[in-house]
Amino acid sequence: MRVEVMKGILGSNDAAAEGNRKFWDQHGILALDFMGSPGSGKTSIFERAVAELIKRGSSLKVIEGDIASDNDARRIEQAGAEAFQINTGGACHLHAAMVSRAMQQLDLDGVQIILIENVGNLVCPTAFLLGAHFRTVVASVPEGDDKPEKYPVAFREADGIILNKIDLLPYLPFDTGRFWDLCDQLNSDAPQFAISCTTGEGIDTLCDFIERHLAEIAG
Amino acid sequence: MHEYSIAQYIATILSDVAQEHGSRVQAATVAVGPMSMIVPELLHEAWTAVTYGSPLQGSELHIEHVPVRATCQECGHQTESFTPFVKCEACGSLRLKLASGHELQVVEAELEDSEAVSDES
Ligand SMILES: Nc1nc2c(ncn2[C@@H]2O[C@H](COP(=O)(O)OP(=O)(O)O)[C@@H](O)[C@H]2O)c(=O)[nH]1
Ligand SMILES: [Mg+2]
Ligand SMILES: [Zn+2]
Repeated sequence: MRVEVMKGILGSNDAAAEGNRKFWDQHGILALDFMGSPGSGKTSIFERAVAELIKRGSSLKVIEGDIASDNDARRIEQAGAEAFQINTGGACHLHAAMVSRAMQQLDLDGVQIILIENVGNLVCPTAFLLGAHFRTVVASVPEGDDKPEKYPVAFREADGIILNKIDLLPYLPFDTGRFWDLCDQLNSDAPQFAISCTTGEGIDTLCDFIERHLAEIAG
Repeated sequence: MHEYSIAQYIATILSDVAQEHGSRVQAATVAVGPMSMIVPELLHEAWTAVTYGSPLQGSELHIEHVPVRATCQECGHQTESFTPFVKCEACGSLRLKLASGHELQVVEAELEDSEAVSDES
């Protein structure tokens, strides 16, 4: 007997993501989800952004997604914010429900911003929405200027694109014009950030952006 | 390697369908668009692994590939593609408006004849 099913495979994840979004909106919290290859500098960006946003008076917490280890969470705590480590135990991406459970365990009193580091991967996390207000792709100079062409889906669907490690531009054959042109073609709506976690260049602009959107969410 | 997760989500959906009809799933069809970046062989392997030892073991998973349909925002040309690396076939631009390609859906299931099941019991 043939039965029609017609169900979205990720329907239950999408529903959990919607639940997360509702929860954040109700609490006036801005949530940002960062995706990128391992080593692109996601944790370094968080260290910098945490220090800068705290200096500006914001209250934030971090969710660290990794296959194993809590090294990244410890780095964030040293930078001054509480970090909740999710170990996926092999899964190459976070699920929305993992983030919901983390939210239940964090004390969110007074928290304005949640930064989420997704598992280092530019393929698998893209289909699994977490409900964050912004999904940012992080690429870095040593990965090459053709990264957007190699991972078009992640770049197409991002709400923001970060190029990190621009301090290395003098040493590597990286054509920034080409990189940003590919980004423009794939996703002309996503704001673009060129930053260096080593020198701190561009961190201010990124934090300005985050604060602007926080102001919108908080009404 | 998100095929394993995807296989688990499909298994949950099909277990519900089987339970609802008091029957067993023999085969199912899923529609997959290239933007979901599923590697068909990996999904089949994951399906075997995820269903092993469950009532879904041995069920067949048919993958129906849905193309990306894209309109070029530079020249207006319509392109169809079965990969996520889609470019305008006329001018090479990546500046495309996608009308499809994100599909990830359980379309239908083939269940064991429920009459046969109820006859036996
Ligand atoms: N030169 C340079 N190195 C960086 C920069 N940002 C991060 N790194 C280095 O890149 C490596 C990986 O960074 P990490 O933040 O752990 O990456 P993640 O895997 O994406 O979280 C570390 O050795 C960092 O010190 C940068 O802006 N410039
Ligand atoms: Mg990290
Ligand atoms: Zn064209």
